[in-house]
Amino acid sequence: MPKHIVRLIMLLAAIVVVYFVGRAFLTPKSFYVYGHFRGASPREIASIKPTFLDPTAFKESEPAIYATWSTGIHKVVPCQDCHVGAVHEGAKGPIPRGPFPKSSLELCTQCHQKIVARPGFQPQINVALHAHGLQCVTCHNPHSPTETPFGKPLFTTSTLASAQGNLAAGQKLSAQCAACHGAKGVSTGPAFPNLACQSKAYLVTALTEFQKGTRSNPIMSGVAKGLSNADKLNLATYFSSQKCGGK
Amino acid sequence: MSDDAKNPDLPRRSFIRLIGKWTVVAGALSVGVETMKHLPTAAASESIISRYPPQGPVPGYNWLDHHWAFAVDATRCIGCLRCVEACKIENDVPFNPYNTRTWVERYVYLDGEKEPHVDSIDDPRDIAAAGTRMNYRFADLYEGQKVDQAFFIPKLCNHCTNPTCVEVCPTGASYQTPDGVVLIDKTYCIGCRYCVQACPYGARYFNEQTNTADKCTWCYHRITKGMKTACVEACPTHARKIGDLKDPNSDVSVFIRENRVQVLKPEMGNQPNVFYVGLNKDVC
Repeated sequence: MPKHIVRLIMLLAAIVVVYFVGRAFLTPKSFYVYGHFRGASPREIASIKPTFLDPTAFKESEPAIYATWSTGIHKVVPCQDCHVGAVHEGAKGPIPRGPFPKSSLELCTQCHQKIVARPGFQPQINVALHAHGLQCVTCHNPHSPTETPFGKPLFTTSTLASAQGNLAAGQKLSAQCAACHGAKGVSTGPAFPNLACQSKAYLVTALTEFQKGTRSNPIMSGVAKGLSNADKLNLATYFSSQKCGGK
Repeated sequence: MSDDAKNPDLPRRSFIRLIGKWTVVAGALSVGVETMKHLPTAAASESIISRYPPQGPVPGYNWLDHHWAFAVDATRCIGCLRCVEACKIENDVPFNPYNTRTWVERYVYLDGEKEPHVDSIDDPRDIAAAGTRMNYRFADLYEGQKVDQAFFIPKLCNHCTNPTCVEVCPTGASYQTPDGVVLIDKTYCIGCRYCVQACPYGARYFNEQTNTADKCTWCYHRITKGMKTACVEACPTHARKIGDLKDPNSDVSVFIRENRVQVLKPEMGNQPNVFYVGLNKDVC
């Protein structure tokens, strides 16, 4: 055989040897055990520690809140949707909100702002008209939003909503509210909430809570003290009958 | 005159030939010895069998007993993006609107227009509404315009039966497990981004924290422990479901039985395993 052919064959043989030796060194042990991948990889991925906890994990540490939450309409919203930091102490990445959300107005409207494409079954609000710049938790208990933060039902549809007050009497009484809330319930400044077209049941509940002291405000607590039950209903009837924004 | 005549004791050419021969012999010997060390011995192969049984390498979990699938009822999606946030925290996904393992798209058909307007959390208007990279929300667009039809479509990796991303991976870093999940071995990924291009659903992204490709794993670390994925846990309207097709009573098996389901881009031949209700012809 000519010398240059022999050399070529030897070079090829050397390349083949280097290939097999290199493969034996460089291929991880578990490669090809299950297929064309490292067999240890699924175990590594499966061994990551889950950080999202089931809401029942807080049943014992927060019994009162858990009871409110699990009986209210928000029981479909798990804890971590709002209390991110509380549930994710083991999380490696950044946590968008602390254990207690800073602004309920920003958080709640993620689900409840009225926007195009949000389906009809979801309760939605026009934020400017509904919230009057107030935080949602001023009136709603976030763990059970059909209740006030003080545990009272927000919409007592059975009695309050159907009860009819005296519109004229309410209008007469409303003179003392006009300085801040406006004669027709459209407030004179951003510090005062609009009352026009507000829910009647809510207005009565709010006044009652100011009377009882469960809700407090330096001005409103004083104003509400002198009102009878009939007065509250008459005022609520008047303001709830006014058009939104006074138009 | 020959070289040998000049250097009678040890001619140069003979010397070089001698050195060459011994180098080859010594090299072959050392390579041979080293290779012997790497050859599987009886004890080593036994430990491989015990560490990698046919039931899969995950302790306490038999991957031959499961075939995972996902279902989305798009008519129930309210676009609150809790799933996106939950996924980012659970899976250490970078907090920016562009890198997501799961995301939600909004399709809006304005009156008199045939083509939909599509936006997602990476739309500049939605980024402006969210205000921060830590938070995601859909802006109140289309105010005052007459809308014919509008809906949200949640999306994630389809964990296809014929995954193109696995097909193109040059290293074996992307692979499919027998329980129907497509995973990425991040220690083996060289970051060539070929799979990101190959996915017809845009489900993969390049993670600049790890310098590897990244995508949804259907929370493999949760489903192998009997838990639901983070996005399914977070969804307040039960628009998302994860389940085992081998269990006739799982959420997904029931959903597929009770609804007329569709998949995205069936014409691609990937055979996706995320089953939708509430798509229309323009959703892709």
